[in-house]
Amino acid sequence: MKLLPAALLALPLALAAPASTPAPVAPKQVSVPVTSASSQATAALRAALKSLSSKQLLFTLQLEPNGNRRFQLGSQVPFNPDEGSRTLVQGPLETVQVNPESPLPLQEVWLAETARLLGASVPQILPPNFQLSKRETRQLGAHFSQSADLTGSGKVSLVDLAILASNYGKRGFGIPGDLSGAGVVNAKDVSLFAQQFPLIWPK
Amino acid sequence: MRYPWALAAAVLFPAALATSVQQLDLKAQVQRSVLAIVATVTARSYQQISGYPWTDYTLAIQDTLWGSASVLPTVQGNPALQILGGPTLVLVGAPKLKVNGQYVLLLYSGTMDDPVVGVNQGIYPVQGGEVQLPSGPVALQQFENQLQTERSQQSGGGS
Repeated sequence: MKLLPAALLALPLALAAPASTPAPVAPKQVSVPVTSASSQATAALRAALKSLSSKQLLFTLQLEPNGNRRFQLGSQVPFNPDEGSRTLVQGPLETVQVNPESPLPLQEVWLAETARLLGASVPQILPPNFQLSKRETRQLGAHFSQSADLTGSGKVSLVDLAILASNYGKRGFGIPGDLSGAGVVNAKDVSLFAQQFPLIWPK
Repeated sequence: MRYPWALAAAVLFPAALATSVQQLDLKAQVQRSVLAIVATVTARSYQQISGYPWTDYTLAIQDTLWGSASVLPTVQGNPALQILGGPTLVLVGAPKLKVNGQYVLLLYSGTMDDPVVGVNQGIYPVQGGEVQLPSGPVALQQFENQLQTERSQQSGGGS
């Protein structure tokens, strides 16, 4: 009987060794500041944020008593019967009112509004069975995980740099280019961007 | 990528909240509307109702395809299109009509933030006697006939 090489003999042991598997990485937690007018709205927002979370990113609701982004279910003013929700803007205050008698599934309406809150580009006319595309989900993930791939294309390019440059100096939650999550696009974000997109000129 | 800047522009606007609406094709718009008119906006004014600002577009109606214009609110005796919002409050995605602009309007009746079928899907601007459709301009009379035909088919052949 031929002797097996020691390395091959060791392979099953190596595959079975639990110590060789990488330790699980805790997801990055992102607090989303929102003012909610009711427990129903809060529960719906929480559910939508959960569905937009991933293994790498965990969106959590940060309730503010008097914030500028308000969500509510229903309103004194009757809705157009084709509306799932509407947004009223009054100065810095944005109020999203969801139609309790929405012709669209309420879960999809809350998902759309929450995705918009996070900065996703969601059309006004919602397609049937609305959900975020893989690309949009990647884009959200990239945006909140300090990735410079702001378009979610799978690579960092000059288009991403153009987005960051366009938003330089802007303040607010969820601004594309705010890689550090500081609430403003500034030199720190440029530095983070440069680490992922070194400007090396071709020879 | 041929037009990278178009993609960049699409994601430049951060956290834009909006209005969510179901999609309605022309057939569904015709079916749902209680009033269809061809009208010109003669004036725009604002008023406050129950603590909310509203925009009134006063209309001069040229043709009523179906329904009765009496369901519309009036401003100084003239029919008007009343939409929630004004100088201090914006209803995102609400239609904005031009004074002196002519439109084919498919409308609901009753009090609501915006009586246009599909929020802004049931508005068809008319320019130079042609209705501006996404597929291209169509003669106003031809479009009216198309709407009437669709309506009569839905009501089982009656007018």
